[in-house]
Amino acid sequence: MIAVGLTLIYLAIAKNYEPTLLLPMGFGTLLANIPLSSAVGPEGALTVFFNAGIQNEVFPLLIFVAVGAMIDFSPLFKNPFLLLFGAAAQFGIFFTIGVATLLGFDLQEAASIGIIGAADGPTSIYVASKFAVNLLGPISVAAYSYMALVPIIQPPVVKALTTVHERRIHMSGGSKSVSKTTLILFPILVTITAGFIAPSSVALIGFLMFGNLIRECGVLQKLSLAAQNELASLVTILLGITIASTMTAEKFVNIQTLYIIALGLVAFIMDTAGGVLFAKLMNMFLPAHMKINPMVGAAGISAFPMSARVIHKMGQEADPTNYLLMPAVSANVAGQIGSVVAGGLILSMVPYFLS
Amino acid sequence: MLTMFNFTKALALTGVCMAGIFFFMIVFWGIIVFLHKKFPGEDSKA
Repeated sequence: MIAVGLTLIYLAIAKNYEPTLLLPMGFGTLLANIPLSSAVGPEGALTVFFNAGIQNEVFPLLIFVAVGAMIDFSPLFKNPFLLLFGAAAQFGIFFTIGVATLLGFDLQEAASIGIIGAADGPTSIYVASKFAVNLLGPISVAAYSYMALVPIIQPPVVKALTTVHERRIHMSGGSKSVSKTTLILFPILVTITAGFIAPSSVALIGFLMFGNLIRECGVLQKLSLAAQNELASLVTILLGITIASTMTAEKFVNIQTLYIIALGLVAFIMDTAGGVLFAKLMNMFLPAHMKINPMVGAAGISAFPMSARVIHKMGQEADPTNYLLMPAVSANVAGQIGSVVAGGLILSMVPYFLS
Repeated sequence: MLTMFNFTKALALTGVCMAGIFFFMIVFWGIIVFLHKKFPGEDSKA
């Protein structure tokens, strides 16, 4: 396990793979696995942090406040129909849940593995901490590693599913201006609506939208900056190093970890495929002047802004006059909402299927 | 047997959750359209 910790530190520093989380996780793995370590055990600092911040889900929720404060929903307001791609590109989560059950995982474990496809670290950690604490370490490693690998994973899948002609389709970025009142009311209305429909999603969606309200209200500039910077940094350090307390040899060095790493990749690939194929499906019903570039569907995942950048770059490669950045960013923001909704629904529905 | 039972549940979960996500997104789309109409941006007013 010390070698695993050193590998994570190497990937974070030398390869720049999500260093904000992988480096604390790597170092935490060292702390947790040094023989007779005082960092773990009933009174160990890492165990205390784990019980205080992850077992009761406080750390992931605080990260949601920070993420909410970082999200600008205005690109989405200019192209609200792209919200549908934030739904379609969650397909990988559920495809992976099915495959995981076939590999022998129970439904709760499968759901925790599938949620890697949300391409959203905090949601993955939140769901795994509820359903499969024993798998938290490998799930976190897979979720954050594949998020860093989006520029490598998505292009071949998109190219395999689209023609050059489709990749050249131009799209408008949207021209509507968004009023301040709209930006302020959106997080409030979404929280109330989602909360009444699915109460168990309130924590996930509510904390995200609370962070966004702090950003948009215009009277809490200092808190908004604190949430985006200090809160995000502090909780990320604690989250990473604390998750590592679960990364002991008996929990990490086994066949399940290999399955989880492989299934995480499947989830990302099927997310991308789901978004692209849904766009192609929509194009079958849309008039010629309203066709959607199917690549934009692939940006409906939560990995922001990597996925939007990848799609924009691919559009430019197909046609240097094709600027897909704005619609891709809109779909990417939709993916951020979609991943949280997916997490909330999984948390609501899995217990029903178990009873 | 247990694997197939879990797989069947996973399929049902997929159907319910994907429908749920699309439902939520359409609701949020509706909220955005409503807010745009009630509180248009500066250029829309002009």
